[in-house]
Amino acid sequence: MTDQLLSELRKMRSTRTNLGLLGGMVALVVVFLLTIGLTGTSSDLADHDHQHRVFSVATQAALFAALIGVMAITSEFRHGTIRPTFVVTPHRGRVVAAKVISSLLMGLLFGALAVGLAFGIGYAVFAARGAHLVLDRNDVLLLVLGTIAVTALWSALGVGLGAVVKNQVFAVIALLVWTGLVNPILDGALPGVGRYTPIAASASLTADPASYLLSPLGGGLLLIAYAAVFVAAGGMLVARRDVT
Amino acid sequence: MLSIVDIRRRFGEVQALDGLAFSVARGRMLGFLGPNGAGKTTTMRAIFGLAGLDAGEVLWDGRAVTHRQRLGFGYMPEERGLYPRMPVGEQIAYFGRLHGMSSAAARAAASAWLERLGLADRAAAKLEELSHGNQQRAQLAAALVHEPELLVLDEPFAGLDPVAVQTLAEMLLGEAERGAAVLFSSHQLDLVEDICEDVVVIDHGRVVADGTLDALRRRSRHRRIELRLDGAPGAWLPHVAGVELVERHNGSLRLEAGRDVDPELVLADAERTAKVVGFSYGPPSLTELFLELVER
Repeated sequence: MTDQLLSELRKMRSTRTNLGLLGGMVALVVVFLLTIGLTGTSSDLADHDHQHRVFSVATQAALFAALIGVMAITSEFRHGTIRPTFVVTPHRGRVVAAKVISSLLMGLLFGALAVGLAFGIGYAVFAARGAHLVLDRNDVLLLVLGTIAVTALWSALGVGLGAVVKNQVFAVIALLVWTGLVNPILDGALPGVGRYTPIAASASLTADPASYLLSPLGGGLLLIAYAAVFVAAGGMLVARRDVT
Repeated sequence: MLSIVDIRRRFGEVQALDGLAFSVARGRMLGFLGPNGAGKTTTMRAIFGLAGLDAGEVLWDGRAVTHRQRLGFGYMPEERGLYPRMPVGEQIAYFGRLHGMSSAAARAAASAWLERLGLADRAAAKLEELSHGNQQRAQLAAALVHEPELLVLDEPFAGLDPVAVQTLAEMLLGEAERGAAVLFSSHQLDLVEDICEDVVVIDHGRVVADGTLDALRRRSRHRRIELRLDGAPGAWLPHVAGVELVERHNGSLRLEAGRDVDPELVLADAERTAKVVGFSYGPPSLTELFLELVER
């Protein structure tokens, strides 16, 4: 298992797409932070919920972490390298587990970097515009730890999704359509259902002030459940399917 | 020795493998033949545990193949499987390590194989920068780097130019001489005829012929007769029962005759009609035998 994990980490490190995703994540977080921070009025900047929104821009890293997870497994199917991988490690569950762990580590890294950027740039923007921070210690703690946890869990969810779908293009499209289209529609049309989606669970974990969300603990447990279900389903399908 | 014992696999309504059984001994090269969809690739995948079986066994030296033994096998799938952005030399060494070699031994073996395959100067290039033929050579190196006891190759000659085909054929013969059991599928039957001692022909997931190439050709119900005539009428055919025209071209005739037909009768009839400048008689080629075996 250790060898498998080291091998997966090496693949993560040497994959150019992952570097691209990291760059994309940094760019997106910075642009969002500057846009929200610099365009708000003085009263906006002093508002608790607005400040929370600025710092929670870091949770955008979750989408990139999920893509890392999706790529970790679907690129092996795409390039046919899954065959030697499974010949060498016939216990396919171990391969999936190693991919989940390595993706989780990448997710933690993405989350930590995004949080660092959000708080670094966010504080600088507030200071430059003379706004005082009204978020309390508990808010900050939940934003920091919640964002890192959310990003890590989405990377695991990505591995599970990739293992279920197998086809890289379809898996990426499914992820983007869900996060960009289906989830927002569900959120707006049926908020009672929308509060239980993975995105709502992520927002709950960082204590997003939206009133209809779950508690941070409830959101965290729900997101863990989503990740676990996807990983379990993906692992089961990978173990059962023929490798073509 | 690799033994495939009564393996069965169904995909929905299709019985892909239907009690398939054959074996490959060490030091022998076996051509694994069959029309598209006969079950060749599924069989090869089953050898490596990549496709599940409903019944039957894959044995090595009479026992179920273990994981450790499988690490000593080499597999070149039809759909290639290498990392496109990884340097070729590093990649081959990586595959050697996956199969249990030490880092130093894997690097040395990778260099040696790239040298033999004419890729030494491309060792630092990324796989995606190589031509199709060179990528195929790199895939072969990945299958051979750990000196496998069993080598399984799915359509290894597909898409290669004649020089690359020759190089690959020599490599496979070398592997069999080294003592490896070599199993490969191909639709290039002339090539199989040239380099294989043994063949297995399968159809609909079942073995329809298995044995040495010579024995199978002799067992055929048909014989081929080739005649070159000077001055024969354009539509002339021998008046011998059981003889059929296969091809006529510029005074040359290729005939198919039943095994019981006396070739002397054909020759005598031809000599009564025209000057015979060439005559040959023998068992069918592998292509003809294949068509006879999988006739639909």
